Amino acid sequence: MSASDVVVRNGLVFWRGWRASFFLSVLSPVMFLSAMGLGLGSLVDEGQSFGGVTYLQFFATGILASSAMQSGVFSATYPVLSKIMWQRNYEAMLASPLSVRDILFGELGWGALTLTQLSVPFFVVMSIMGIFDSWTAVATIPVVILVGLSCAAPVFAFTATLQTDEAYTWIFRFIVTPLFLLSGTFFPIQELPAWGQVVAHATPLFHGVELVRQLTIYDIEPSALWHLGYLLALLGIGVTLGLRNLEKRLMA
Amino acid sequence: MAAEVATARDQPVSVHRALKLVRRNLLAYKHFWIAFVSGFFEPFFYLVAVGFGVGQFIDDVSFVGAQIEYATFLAPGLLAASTLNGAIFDGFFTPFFKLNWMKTYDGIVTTPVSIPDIAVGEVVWATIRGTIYGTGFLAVMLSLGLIHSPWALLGIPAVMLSAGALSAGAMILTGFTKQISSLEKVMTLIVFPLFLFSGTFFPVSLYPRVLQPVVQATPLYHAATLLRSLTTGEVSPATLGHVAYLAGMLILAGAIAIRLMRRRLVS
Repeated sequence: MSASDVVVRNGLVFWRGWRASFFLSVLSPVMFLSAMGLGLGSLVDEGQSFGGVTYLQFFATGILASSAMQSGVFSATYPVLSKIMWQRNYEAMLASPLSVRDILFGELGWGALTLTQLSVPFFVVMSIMGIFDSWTAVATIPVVILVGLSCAAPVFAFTATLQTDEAYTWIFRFIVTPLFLLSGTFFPIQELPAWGQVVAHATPLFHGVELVRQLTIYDIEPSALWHLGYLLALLGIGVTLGLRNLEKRLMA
Repeated sequence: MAAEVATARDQPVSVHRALKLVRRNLLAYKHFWIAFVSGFFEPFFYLVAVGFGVGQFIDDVSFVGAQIEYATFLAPGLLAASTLNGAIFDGFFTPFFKLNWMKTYDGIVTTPVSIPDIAVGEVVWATIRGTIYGTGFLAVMLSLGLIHSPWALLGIPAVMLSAGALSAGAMILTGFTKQISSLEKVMTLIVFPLFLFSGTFFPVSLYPRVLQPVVQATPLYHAATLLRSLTTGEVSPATLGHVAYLAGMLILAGAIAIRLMRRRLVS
């Protein structure tokens, strides 16, 4: 009995709705890419503003990272709170030989699988559209999974302290949406005012977007290590806090 | 008794009774004021990021013969899109849960409130909310210098009309759906494509010629173009065509929604 059992359990629940859900999860990014990258992008005067790549390339790589953030954050909100206090699945799991640690790592493992399921088709579509310039692009899939998990883990820790789901409205409206729009996904953060750039540098999505772009359309620079380090550190902090909070919540 | 209930629920719509439902929603909504207030911000963030952020790299865009700045082009499109989102929320999501999960309507039809009252009440409620949001967003546009004509004053009734037509359309979806998985399908297959491809973010002229009539057939295209004509002052007889489309949709979709709701609630 271990974390892998939690992964298997979630997989069984997921399996029923899989086909429809898979189709839909591929369709949305494709539509978004066509509308923004091709439609809006055809209006954009590219020049050198986007580091010598087309707006479609710039935008698509940003969206790859940010859809991982959105999926990661979502997976740590309602589904987890539901298993803590509405359906109380975790209580049932703890009555088995599973530990709190198994639950958390199981959920993250499952998160990694859903992120793979999201990013691989997206990656294939982007390759077909000729967006990638470099063979290092294959490394983006694990990076994208890391981005999703780094965003999910701290939110998981936060969810473990919640009594109602009200806070999620705030998280999505005032954290996830602004991050999605302003972390360098739609336009380079150099266009932001100075304070905005400082804020952007502190957000995980900015680091994820930069890392993805270095691997796919720009040259890899030493700063890649710093971006990677930031995401790993955030994941570490999130997991540590998550374990502590979930332990407190379920063992109380 | 059963006969009385049956006659009450089949009564044609009464304004007085429909407003009872609006009051009920207002009372129920008091607890969710955070969701209400935060709804203002979503289109604002998009305006900042796409209109001003990406807009810096975009030359003027042509709209019915005039050349306008990209942010001026985008803002009324986002206004229309936020009206769509509100209509889906109030005309589809919430009624979906009331119909299928909480069985709220099953309780309501045992009172003198009839099925048409329910459908009309929900559309009125959605229209009120949409108008409040729309007016707020028009004020934001004014303060950012994105309104270029006094015609924009008619933007408020235009938002009301759009909200009414779109939420009546959303009620049709409520009448059709039973499964929770339908929510995701409706979002991905209907709402999201409308949001992206209705001439909200870029002009219809950029589409391949064969697709242009498809775009021009969508309700959001008419709402966006109507609002854009008013805020830019590019008003022409064609503007009335958009009004007629939306008014026709409101009546037709409303009638269909009442029929569908009756089928769902009486069985």
